[in-house]
Amino acid sequence: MGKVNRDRPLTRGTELVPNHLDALTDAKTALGNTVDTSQLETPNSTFSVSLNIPYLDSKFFYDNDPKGNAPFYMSFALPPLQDKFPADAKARRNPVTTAPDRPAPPVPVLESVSISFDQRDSGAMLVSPWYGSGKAELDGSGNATGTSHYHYTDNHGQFEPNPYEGFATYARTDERGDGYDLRLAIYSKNQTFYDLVGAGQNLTVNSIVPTYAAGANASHPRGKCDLYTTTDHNLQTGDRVFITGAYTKPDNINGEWVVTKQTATRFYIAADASGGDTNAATVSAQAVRSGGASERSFSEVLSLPIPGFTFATPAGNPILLTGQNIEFDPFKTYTIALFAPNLHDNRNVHETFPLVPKAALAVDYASGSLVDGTGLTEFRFHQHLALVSVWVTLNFKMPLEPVQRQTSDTAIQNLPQHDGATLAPTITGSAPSAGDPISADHASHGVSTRIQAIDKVFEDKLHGGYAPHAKIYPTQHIKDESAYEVITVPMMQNFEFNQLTPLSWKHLPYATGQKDSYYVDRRIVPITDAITVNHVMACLSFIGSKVPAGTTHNTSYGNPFAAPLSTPRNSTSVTWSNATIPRLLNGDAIYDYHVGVGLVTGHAADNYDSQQIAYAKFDYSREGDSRFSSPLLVDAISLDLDALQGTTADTDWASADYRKMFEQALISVPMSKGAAAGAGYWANNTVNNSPTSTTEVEQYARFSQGAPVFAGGSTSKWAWDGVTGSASTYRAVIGSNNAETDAVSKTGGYEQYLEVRMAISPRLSFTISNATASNDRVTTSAAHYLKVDDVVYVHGTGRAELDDTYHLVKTVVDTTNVVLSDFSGSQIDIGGDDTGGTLVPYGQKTDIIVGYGGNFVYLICRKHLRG
Amino acid sequence: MTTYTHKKSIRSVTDEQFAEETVIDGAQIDSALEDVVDRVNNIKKGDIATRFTQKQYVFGYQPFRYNVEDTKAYSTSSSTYRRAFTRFPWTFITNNEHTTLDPQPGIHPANIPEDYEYRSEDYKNQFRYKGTFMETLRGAAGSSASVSLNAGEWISDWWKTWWANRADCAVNTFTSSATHPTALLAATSDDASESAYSAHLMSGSAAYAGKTSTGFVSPRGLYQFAWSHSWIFERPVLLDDLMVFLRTDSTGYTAPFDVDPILANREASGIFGESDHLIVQLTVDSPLGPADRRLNNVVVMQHQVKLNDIKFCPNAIEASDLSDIVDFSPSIITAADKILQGGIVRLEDLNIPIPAGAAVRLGIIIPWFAEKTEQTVSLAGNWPSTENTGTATDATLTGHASNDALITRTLLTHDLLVGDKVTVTAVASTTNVSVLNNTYTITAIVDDYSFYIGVKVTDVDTGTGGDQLGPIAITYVHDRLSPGYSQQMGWSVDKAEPMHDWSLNGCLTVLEEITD
Repeated sequence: MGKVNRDRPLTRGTELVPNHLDALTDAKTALGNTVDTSQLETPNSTFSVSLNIPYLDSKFFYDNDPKGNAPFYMSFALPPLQDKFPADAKARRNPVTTAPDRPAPPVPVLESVSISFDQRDSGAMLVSPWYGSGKAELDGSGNATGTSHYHYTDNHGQFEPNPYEGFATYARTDERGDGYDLRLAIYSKNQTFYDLVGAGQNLTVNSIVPTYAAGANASHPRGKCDLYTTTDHNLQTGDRVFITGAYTKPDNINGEWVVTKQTATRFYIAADASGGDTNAATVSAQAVRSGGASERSFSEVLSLPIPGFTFATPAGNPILLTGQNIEFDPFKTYTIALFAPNLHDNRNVHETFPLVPKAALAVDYASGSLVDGTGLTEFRFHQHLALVSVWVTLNFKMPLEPVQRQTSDTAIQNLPQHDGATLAPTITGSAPSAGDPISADHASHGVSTRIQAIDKVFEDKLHGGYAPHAKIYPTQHIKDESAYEVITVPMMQNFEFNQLTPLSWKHLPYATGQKDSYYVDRRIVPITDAITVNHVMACLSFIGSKVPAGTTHNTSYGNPFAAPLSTPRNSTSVTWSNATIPRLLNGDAIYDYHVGVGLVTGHAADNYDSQQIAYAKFDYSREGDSRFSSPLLVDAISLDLDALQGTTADTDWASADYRKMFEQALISVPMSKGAAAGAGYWANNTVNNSPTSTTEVEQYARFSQGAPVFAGGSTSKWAWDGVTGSASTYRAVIGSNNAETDAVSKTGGYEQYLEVRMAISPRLSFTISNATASNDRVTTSAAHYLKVDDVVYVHGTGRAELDDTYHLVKTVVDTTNVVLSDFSGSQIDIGGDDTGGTLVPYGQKTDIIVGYGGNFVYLICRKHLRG
Repeated sequence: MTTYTHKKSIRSVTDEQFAEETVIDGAQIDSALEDVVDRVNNIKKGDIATRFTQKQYVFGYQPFRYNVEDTKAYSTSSSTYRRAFTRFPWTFITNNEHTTLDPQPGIHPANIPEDYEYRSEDYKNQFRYKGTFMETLRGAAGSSASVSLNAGEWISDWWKTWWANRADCAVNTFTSSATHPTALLAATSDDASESAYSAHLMSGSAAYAGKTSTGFVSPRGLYQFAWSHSWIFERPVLLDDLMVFLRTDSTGYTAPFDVDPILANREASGIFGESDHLIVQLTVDSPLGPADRRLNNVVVMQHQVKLNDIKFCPNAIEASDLSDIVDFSPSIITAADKILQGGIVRLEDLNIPIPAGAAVRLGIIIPWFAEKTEQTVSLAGNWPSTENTGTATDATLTGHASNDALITRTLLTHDLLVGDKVTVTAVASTTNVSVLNNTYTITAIVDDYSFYIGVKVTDVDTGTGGDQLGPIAITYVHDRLSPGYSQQMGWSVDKAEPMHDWSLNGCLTVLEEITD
């Protein structure tokens, strides 16, 4: 309906006729179930993206940049709800000319940001688990000069539980600044698949020209060749292309490569095409951009320095930074980055005698050297700090929207039988007919009577949205009665040292060690009011702090510092190395990540049941074809932090021993709906680089994401008085992901909680053909792609020294033979020949399975007005 | 100055009134219609009964768990044990000199007198939350000799020294008693077990001379810890719903919460959730003194929540019913764990208004015990060398009978509480070993090395019937630190049995009005 227009003002002396009162008729209509945002003084609802991280400590920030310029970050997106998600994504750029099939989505506006953490209500700073550990000296450029920092004094080559962790200090405000100096930044980037010059673009290469052969040029030791495309390719340096159909020698350039330089119709890759079959007439290579540079192309949306003195009193925490007023693009990825450069205590403390008695020795702060401290009293450990129980909350507003109803286009699963339909209220009074006198108190058309009817609507208050227990109001006035909502659910947090590596896997519950046996984390969210879950997204993070670099290990598998046995525990240092993403040499991902969401009923009840509403299993590699081939991948994000090892320099992407694919993956978890379950996010993401469509409109369309699911528990399963359908119809049917046919939700309309699960499982295993006593070799029946120091789990060989145990790869004999060791480095002595069994790879001990601070799942929902 | 506008009408949309038989004109009707149109076109949020939407703040984590055997760390020749890797996000609920690195803020250490007694007023918000005291944590009711709660030393000297300078534990870290033997000598080896080391202390056996014990490290004072959260809201909100879920299951997170160390007389009840040490508190900062927690307004308080009373599924699920539950993916392998288990605090429809700009603080408060599993601890001590004829040995102590026997000079700090039961064993051969070898209840604690037991010694020459006895062995079950809280949600460097953990999951729901 919208606003009432009244363009015929009355003046004194005008003869009154019925038409003069049309405004009352219009007002009556406008207060039916048609009230929209144009009529509301407050047309927006609010929602938040709220990240909670149990703690962040100095070592993470230091490891990623000793100068403190690297943040802890987490990525998210605010996609349109499904009924606003244009099939033609160009609609967001020009909704008029591209004639979108549905309106351009509303835009969220960032209003304010709040940050809080635990200071023990004291205005103090809290020391981290690394309190007392060493610091690295910095050179003139501020770079660390060694890797032996962050060990526990000179007497500790291994981690010892720190009794002082969480102690308060007031001494970390000095000339360098304040320990709690923070900066919060938000970055935005095009989503890998949405960028119009992005993935899936088919290019025809009509010429491959060698520039250098391998070894011919010092700057290009692997060689270099130019590829000419028939059209402008729009590639950027750093993008990765996937080439098929070419045949060259000595390098076969079919596969994935990084673009090292480009012009409009020409690009370079580090391959040796000399002497090969480069005749354009016989080469018809298809280069498909598989993403790359765009994952590192960020714009800064917001940067808020927060000086440490803000937190100098207990009243300063939490803080709220209002007035941001920044529009967010529903089709971009956003990254919340928190900088805490001064958690690391860079002051001089004597490295050899950090605990010198007060009266005898002291440290000269200027030089760090030991001085005669007789009579002096100062000494100290490094007071490395932590931020504990961190909340970063972004507060948005967004216009209200109509409720989602059952339509053929967007079916709503589990919706009560009212189907979101509303009934207009009855507002008495009617317009006078032609010739009727204009009366004040006439029972139906009197002016006063009609104004009173409208007045009554306001006296009784307007209604919209859902009443408790998923009921709708008998009649309601407001059409735009629903709103955007994000429920941010932290998962996989607070592993030892705040990240998960293969060395810790053994200690996880649930996982057995064998392929597909997973560790699962569970979290529940109460359904306090009815919501409709439209999207589920997850940010899988691989950012980390550095990990120990020992080559042999204590017999304790769980020794997180992996200090070599040859070094006594009063060794002087731990050497840290960069973390890595777990993968085999052939590029296969080693882990699957499962995300599932279900409805749960059973709290304080006799009946317990659950119902799947969303599920995805994602692995991160597939770069044998293209790492961007998963239809689930929404975006890949990398701020290129130091601690996560970069791809081997000057090596083509396809054959690099190690590849840093990204630091975070934003994935879609499609809604479940039986056979019609969602399958992805963007329409052109198909495996093996075979886009289903070559037209731009279709390539960038919304993929089948699965129908939204209503979640709102009822006290009556009918959820709407007066509906008494059969047991199979009181809720719209819901799909299932567990081999059941579509049916009414197993929660039967009584859902109380959303349960979010995230699981990780090893996804590969190799059949063992032989375990040989004479040479202690384990032979796999197929190529194993293992590296020295890979963690493996062996099962079913019949050899007790091998079975049901985690080992390290000591020697890679060849592509099918390895020699294993225990974690002290001692070779496994195979006592007799045997056959059969499996070997499950777990990756390098430096690998990051779950990044620092954990992962997050975002439930993107439609919520409703309530009283 | 506020001016008063007389309202001629009781209507809300317009002040214009029309009645039969009265004179009106177009301007009046125009005004009324304009009022109606304005109101319909600019509906205020106050006109809308359903003007709220919810926002949910979800937190929680599943602690990393180690089997204690996997926490061995190796020296050149032997092992010791570590346990937790972090206590975060849990922090002390009190601020005092024992939880602060530089215990007198703002004062140069050189200017702090050696005998300075730190006062509570030296610390901002010495107590962060209100109403967290629990008699059952402090010790036996009314006993001044019970363990300190949120006061006193948190770190034992042993632990401190071990952490700070493990290889140099040659110093005597047990310095509080001149009669107490040097416990930690030159670390030629540290592989002696606790029992062997205790035996050494008792017997003077040369076999362990100069060696250190492998463990037996415990906090001296019992502290409560909180996972603290705080939020601030730009606009007024209504607190609507609070959930705190302590999830357990049968495989990974099996905390039974079953021991109430004092009330249950330190015997595991074997019943899930008998522990009642959970506190959940939601407070709002005072607008007049937002830095002072004493002025905070407690708006939600769940004190001494007994988890057994708030189980997620209060009734056992029959196996046949379990099989009917079709789990969802990623599915839970153990059938019994398909259902959610554990204790859940769920407070719905709170309807608590929070002003704009106010800080809301949530504290989930638990005691920081070390271990779940009982552990027998052996000590050496001395039987009273003097006859106790009924006169109070120490009149300043209360809670013990005047004729109770005083056990003195235990060779290690005893870590006992009033009400504990100790078993005394005579070391030397006596004629009345059977009399002495008995279990006694502690009636009062003198210090770390002395305590009273409820038996009267009437004849020093004969003990309770035999020769006077000097050295004795004392054993007790060391489970004070153990009502089932886990390594990350509970702390120990002890070597002991496998951990019993739990997973915490919370959610605060607020309602916020629609806005412009």
